[in-house]
Amino acid sequence: MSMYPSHFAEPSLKKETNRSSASHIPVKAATNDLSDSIFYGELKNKLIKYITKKGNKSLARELLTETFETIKRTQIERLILAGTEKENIIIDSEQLLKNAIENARPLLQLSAIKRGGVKYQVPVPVTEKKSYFLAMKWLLDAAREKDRKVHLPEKLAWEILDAACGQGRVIKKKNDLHRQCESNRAYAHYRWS
Amino acid sequence: MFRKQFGNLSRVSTHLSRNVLAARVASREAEMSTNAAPAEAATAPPVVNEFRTGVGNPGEHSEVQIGKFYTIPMQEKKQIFSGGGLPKQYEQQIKTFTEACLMVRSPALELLNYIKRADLSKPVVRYVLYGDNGVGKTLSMAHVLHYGMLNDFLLVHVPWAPNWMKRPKESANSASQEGFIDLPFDAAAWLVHFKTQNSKLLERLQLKTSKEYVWSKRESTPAGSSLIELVEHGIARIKYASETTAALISELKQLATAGQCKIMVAIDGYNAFFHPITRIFSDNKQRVSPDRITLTQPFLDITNYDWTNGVCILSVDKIAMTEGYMESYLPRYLLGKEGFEHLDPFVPVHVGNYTEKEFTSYIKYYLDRHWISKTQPGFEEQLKFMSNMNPYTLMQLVRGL
Amino acid sequence: MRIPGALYAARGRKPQNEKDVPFQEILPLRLKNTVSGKADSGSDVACLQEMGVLFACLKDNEFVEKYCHKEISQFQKCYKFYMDRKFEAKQTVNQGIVQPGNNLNYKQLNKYMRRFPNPQ
Repeated sequence: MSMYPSHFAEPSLKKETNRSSASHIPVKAATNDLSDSIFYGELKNKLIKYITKKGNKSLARELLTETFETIKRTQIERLILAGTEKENIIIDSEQLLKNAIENARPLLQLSAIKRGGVKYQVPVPVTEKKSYFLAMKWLLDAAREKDRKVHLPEKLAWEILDAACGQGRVIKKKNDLHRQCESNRAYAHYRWS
Repeated sequence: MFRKQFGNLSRVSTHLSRNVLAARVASREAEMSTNAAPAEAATAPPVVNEFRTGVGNPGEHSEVQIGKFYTIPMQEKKQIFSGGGLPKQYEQQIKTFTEACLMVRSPALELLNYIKRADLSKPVVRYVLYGDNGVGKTLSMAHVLHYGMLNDFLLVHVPWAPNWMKRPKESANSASQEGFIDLPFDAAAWLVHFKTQNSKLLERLQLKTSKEYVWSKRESTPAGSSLIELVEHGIARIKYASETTAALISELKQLATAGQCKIMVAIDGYNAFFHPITRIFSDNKQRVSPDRITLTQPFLDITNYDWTNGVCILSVDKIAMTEGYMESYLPRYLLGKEGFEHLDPFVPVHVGNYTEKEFTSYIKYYLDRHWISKTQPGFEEQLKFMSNMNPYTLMQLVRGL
Repeated sequence: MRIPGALYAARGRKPQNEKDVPFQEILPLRLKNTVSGKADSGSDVACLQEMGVLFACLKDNEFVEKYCHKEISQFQKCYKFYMDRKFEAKQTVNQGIVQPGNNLNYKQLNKYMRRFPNPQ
């Protein structure tokens, strides 16, 4: 629940806001993770929030930066090794993250619905917001499932690179979910939500 | 919310074809396991453009080259810096960029100028590099070291002196001096470093020891044996490494004074030798101050002015101190009374943040190496603002871009 | 002599004495002043056909989404349309503007009935 009444407007990140036309609309206060820096990315910000444990956001930010650094180093190495086909290699790690998340987004989801005392796993379409959440969660889960000695940024970088190419555990997880949905498609009409 | 960002990005239009992917994954395994960067830049001829200079010899650098990058050949880099001497992150950067590039900056040029004009027959001049955290003291020193190596100086280089006080590998009671502490492994490591830096020059100069050193009843190094033998003895018999270091340095001083060789002393984090708080403990669990460590004495000795034919480049650093002693980066504060008096007539060289020209040059270099991939309009301004043109901060900021 | 049962049946059974069984009013004997909104929510099963088409396509292409671009976008469009409409419907219900007519939703009905409650 928001502490603001519903007629409050979202804060704007642009430096110059055209407020003359809407000066009578009250605006919510900006949260402290917003920034008008040109390096600010909404998706990046969201992922930082998901990485955070016990409110230690500065650590999460550091981890994501390190992830991006690892990705960049690997991609530059590939670029040097590639020789001729250099156009195919994306070095921008944020772009790679976007690609990875786009590739990992599920279309459907299984939800347990009780009918006649039996729980059925019913395929249900997911909303856009939830699909982004699931993609990022899977990426992180895959990255956290690792040896104790492996550093999270390293593993996360691998998962992102894999997913951006359309392979790896996250993509497999998504495909498995789709497969399960397909095998349970007979229950689809049980859905209520 | 995300629709804004992803509006034109269709989720399935991975522009990469499947074959390319498979090949890439296969090659990735090999790449990552070795992490080897090909050394193709080592053989390529030097590129000259607005941020690079073809002049590879630091002796020829002048005001014209300020703010430009010059390349250290991989082999020379390996010879000078394999035992340390470049910051860890800079080493990583070198590996990623597959070339060892240093920027020509005014503090290093100033130092080089002094060294070139110095009269070596006079007692040694001590130069002290000082500056705030992360401004490039170590890299300025690296630039001068490269000059020293190319101009037949024997390098007596301590990559980071506080390592001995803060994280010694092993400490033992000294056999020869009562109440002193030996750091045998660190001393041996330093001897290895000395050997890799100077083995070629030592072979050429054929320097001999002046007196006999007796290590124990059975072991001794006779007078007239070469310095390499002395060093190798120290490396092989780690127990005597500290004493070997002391012997080596006193020999070097004598040889230099006699005019047989010229020596460049470079010690990073020199103020650690005067900071009373260390992490070495004696047998009765008391902190050992640096003057009770056998390794300290030879290096204090060689920074004295009682010898000729050499130069001393020292750097004082805030992070060589421990917590609570980092208020200022000025030499008087960091060295303390004792250290300041030890060095007293010295030439201070201030290392500062980037100038406007150096900053733009660095950004161009990063762009050339594909290190910055977000080039929205105004990104330079923003980086300048966020880093305050501090080299280390800039490096940290650019990491994730 | 036996009396045939048909004779009793014609007279019927003797009624209960009301004093023996007093009337108990378990629930109040009048209608409530409100109706619940359950029936208005309607069926939630939407986009079944699109989902079927999508499943068929995915199965044919071994779950590689790249080849089912059209089906995916259609499915998502359908779901989005459905959600939007549901949201709008909820919005209009929440506004609760009472207008004359016989096709009223539960909120409007409740408003009416609050004006004309059952006598106590």
